Amino acid sequence: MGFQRSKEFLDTVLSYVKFPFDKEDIRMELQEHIWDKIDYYTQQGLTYYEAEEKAIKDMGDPKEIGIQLNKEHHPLIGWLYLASKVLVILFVIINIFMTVPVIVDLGYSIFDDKLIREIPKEDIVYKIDVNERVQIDDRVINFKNVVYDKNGTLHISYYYYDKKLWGSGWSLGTIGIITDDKGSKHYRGSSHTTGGIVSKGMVSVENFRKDAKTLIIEYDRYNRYYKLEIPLKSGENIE
Amino acid sequence: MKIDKGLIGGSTTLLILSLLKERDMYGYEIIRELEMRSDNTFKFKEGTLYPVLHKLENEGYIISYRNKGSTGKERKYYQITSKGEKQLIEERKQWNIFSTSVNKVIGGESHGFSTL
Repeated sequence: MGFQRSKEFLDTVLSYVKFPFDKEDIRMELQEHIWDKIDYYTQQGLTYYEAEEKAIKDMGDPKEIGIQLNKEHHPLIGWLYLASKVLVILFVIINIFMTVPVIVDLGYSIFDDKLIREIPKEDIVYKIDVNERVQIDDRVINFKNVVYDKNGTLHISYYYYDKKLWGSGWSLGTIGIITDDKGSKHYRGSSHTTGGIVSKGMVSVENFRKDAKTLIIEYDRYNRYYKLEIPLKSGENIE
Repeated sequence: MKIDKGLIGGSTTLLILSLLKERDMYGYEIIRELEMRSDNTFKFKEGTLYPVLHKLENEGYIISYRNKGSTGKERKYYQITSKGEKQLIEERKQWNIFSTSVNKVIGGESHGFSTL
């Protein structure tokens, strides 16, 4: 009963508006206008039915209004606007993921690396907390610990991840060339990594010099470069 | 005398921006205000206001937001932007030139009123 005429009027107007996402807003706005006008007429003593009739008549031709509104709510502009909104949301999400490194670093600095924990405690000669971060493109590598064991093997543990969710996906082939301050180069060493959003890895270099004071990790590939110098405990600290 | 015409075209931008310069209003308020100030000379097909408002919004002269007014009912309010204020100055200038010119032609009534 109530608002039936209003509904007809609004349906006619909106039948000319092509962009679906603006329809409800338009309907609401025009509906509120009609309600206000009905209130105005009923306060002047008209019955509800009369008031609604007059209010609708005052609105004008629904077809003309609909056609004019459609011009201002053009599908193309509408879709472009919607697309821009989606882009904004994506941008926000990307930015949230940009902060992932901070969260990851926090989380990982609390717990020891699992790979390192697999080395028997009694074998460890010394352990150094490194926590050095390097970045190649969007790939972040955090060198976590260095452990020297009694067999003369130096274990370097690290984890890495992409700053972007849809990261390049390339696996980290190598963390670089491992040398020491005495000039010994260690091209080879066993390494193993575990996957996930954050990949963990450990490189173990056998026959690492006991007296080396500095561990040097140098990466120079595909025009990407970093060099890390990690002070070691040597000499009197050993055994 | 009532000038019953659609709100599309003419001096409507000037009228709407002038009202919104004073305060934020929703559509129904704008219609009432226009009627009142023109002593009911401007009697519009009220629905035709909305395509004009939406056009002004698309052009960046006004922005809209939903809010509860003094009546406690939620309505869609329109607010003039700085771009709209600049446009208002421009429209006023043009209107002055226009009305002065018309008055000169029709016999120099300084307070003449154009129905165009």
